[in-house]
Amino acid sequence: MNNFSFSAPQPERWERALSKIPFLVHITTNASEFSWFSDIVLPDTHHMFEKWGYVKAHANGYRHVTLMQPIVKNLWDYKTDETEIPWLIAEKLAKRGFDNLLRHYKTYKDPETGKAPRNEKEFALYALKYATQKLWDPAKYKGGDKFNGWKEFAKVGVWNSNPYPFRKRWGKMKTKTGKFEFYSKTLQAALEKHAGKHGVSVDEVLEAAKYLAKGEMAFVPHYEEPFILGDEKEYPFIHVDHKSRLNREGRSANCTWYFDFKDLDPGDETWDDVAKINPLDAAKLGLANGDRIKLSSPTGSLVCTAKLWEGVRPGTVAKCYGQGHWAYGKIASEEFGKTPRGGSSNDLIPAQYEALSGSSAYYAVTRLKIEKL
Amino acid sequence: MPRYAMVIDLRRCVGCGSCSISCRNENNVAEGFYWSHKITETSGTFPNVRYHYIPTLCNHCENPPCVRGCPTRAMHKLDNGITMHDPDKCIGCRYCMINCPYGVIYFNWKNAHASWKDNKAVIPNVTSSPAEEVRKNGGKGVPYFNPERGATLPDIRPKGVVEKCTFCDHRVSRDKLPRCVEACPADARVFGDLDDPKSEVNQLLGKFRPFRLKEAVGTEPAVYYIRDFSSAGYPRTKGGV
Repeated sequence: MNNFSFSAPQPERWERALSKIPFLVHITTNASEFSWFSDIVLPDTHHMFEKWGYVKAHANGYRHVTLMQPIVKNLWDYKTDETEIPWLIAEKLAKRGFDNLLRHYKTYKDPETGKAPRNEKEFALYALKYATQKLWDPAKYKGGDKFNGWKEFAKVGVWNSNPYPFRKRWGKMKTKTGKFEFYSKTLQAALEKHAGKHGVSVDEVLEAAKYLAKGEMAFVPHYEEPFILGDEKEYPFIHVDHKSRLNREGRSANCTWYFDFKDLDPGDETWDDVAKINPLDAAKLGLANGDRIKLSSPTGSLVCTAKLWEGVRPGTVAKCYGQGHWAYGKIASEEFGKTPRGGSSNDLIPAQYEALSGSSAYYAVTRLKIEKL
Repeated sequence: MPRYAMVIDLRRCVGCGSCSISCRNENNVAEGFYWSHKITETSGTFPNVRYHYIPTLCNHCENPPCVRGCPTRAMHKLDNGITMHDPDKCIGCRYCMINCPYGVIYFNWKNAHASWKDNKAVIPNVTSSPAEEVRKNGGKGVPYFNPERGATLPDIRPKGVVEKCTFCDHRVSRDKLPRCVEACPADARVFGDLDDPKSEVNQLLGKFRPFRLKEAVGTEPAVYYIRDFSSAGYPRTKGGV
């Protein structure tokens, strides 16, 4: 249920890569940019109201597990990516004499009745009941909210833990010393192991990871200059990427209401895709509200509309992520499969990673230039 | 009889738009119409810049120019203070829209929800179409159609008549709060009876100095605003000479 050829930075890499794959199946709710490169497109359930599943979160010393439940009748014959489709594949494999997978899936018995699943729908439900059993089964109760069974848990829809007891992890942290480390022995050990494996020094590893710290400085909290791609002279503005209030992980672009309410994002405009520019910078470039502009970074470009807005720091350009689909649907695109509606921030953002964690870096990682069209 | 009013706490409001989005759902409102809307303002010069959001809706004025100007009494007041519309009497003259100083009345120039009539799939036999989705849903006009709106108004208003917020009269008559009030995640909208001295709206109107939109024109709105959108602090200072 992903869409990497739109949602990842420098999506043109994905387009080139996907073009090389001889056989690709996409499980999705929308015919998206990723679907475009697929041989088979399987309709997925909507995660919010058409599938069984759970979502975990933790904050403020609490853990929460929220249930996703099918609460509307499916309009068409779609199947859930995580459970129903693998089950159906397992059934077909079993028919051809490879029944390992199906036999494994049948072990996900309903914890309340002990019955094995007989079809994909039962499998989806029993797998969830199995995965969350400690939360709703009084016999397996471990803490937090207490329920008298699955039915009550499903009705309430969320389990909350007990609050984190102060100092519970004292001396038992998941670090090399077991303690909270200001001097990270854990990071030191990891970097030394990695450096040793590749026959280089730790300082060389840090340099390859684009970190400025050397020696022991790397293992203690310290300041690092942000790495922003692009020469300041050629690309005068830092790109400020941010999300729309209306993005449901970016899946709302095919709704007319997304565009009707787009100005809920401060500084944005309805039915348009704007880059917000400080009026001082705009004056230097001779830009007025509504001008068609091209934003370019060292790795790509997009076309959108200029919006002069005081809420932007001079020397930066702020643009909301979310528009720029050329597939995904009739509303999301200007002309489906041909012309994008607006411009996608990922066409500006370079494929750069915070090397130690592997996270994609999205925010203020590149500089831009602006050209009036 | 109650005398309904709404108090909107601008400090609680974060400008999320849940009120406007849920209202559109509750009342099957067409695209481009905003029964619940907003006034936003960016003021100042960077870095001393601020952004304000004022949620708006029909003010259900005690002295309503829309009602006074309506030649057929389609626009009228209910006993509970709600300014209500009767499309059966509406001749579509739009006099109410001219009279209303707040721009909260919309006219149906065309049939509502036209985009949902489209029956072309972007990939034939693979993707659906808006019309097919409405059909399969068994709904009327839109897949998210709410039939409850039909209790006191055409559930989807026809071409040729006006429409506007009705303080969810169809919910209020069943002891339910207006949808926007329910939907607000910050509890920034408070509904109640001005004739009940103990109501929350009266408590708030006493506790905080309220303002109403365009007070000077004398419409006597029933929508009051308290406090300020910005909750910012600032370094303690006496300034300087």
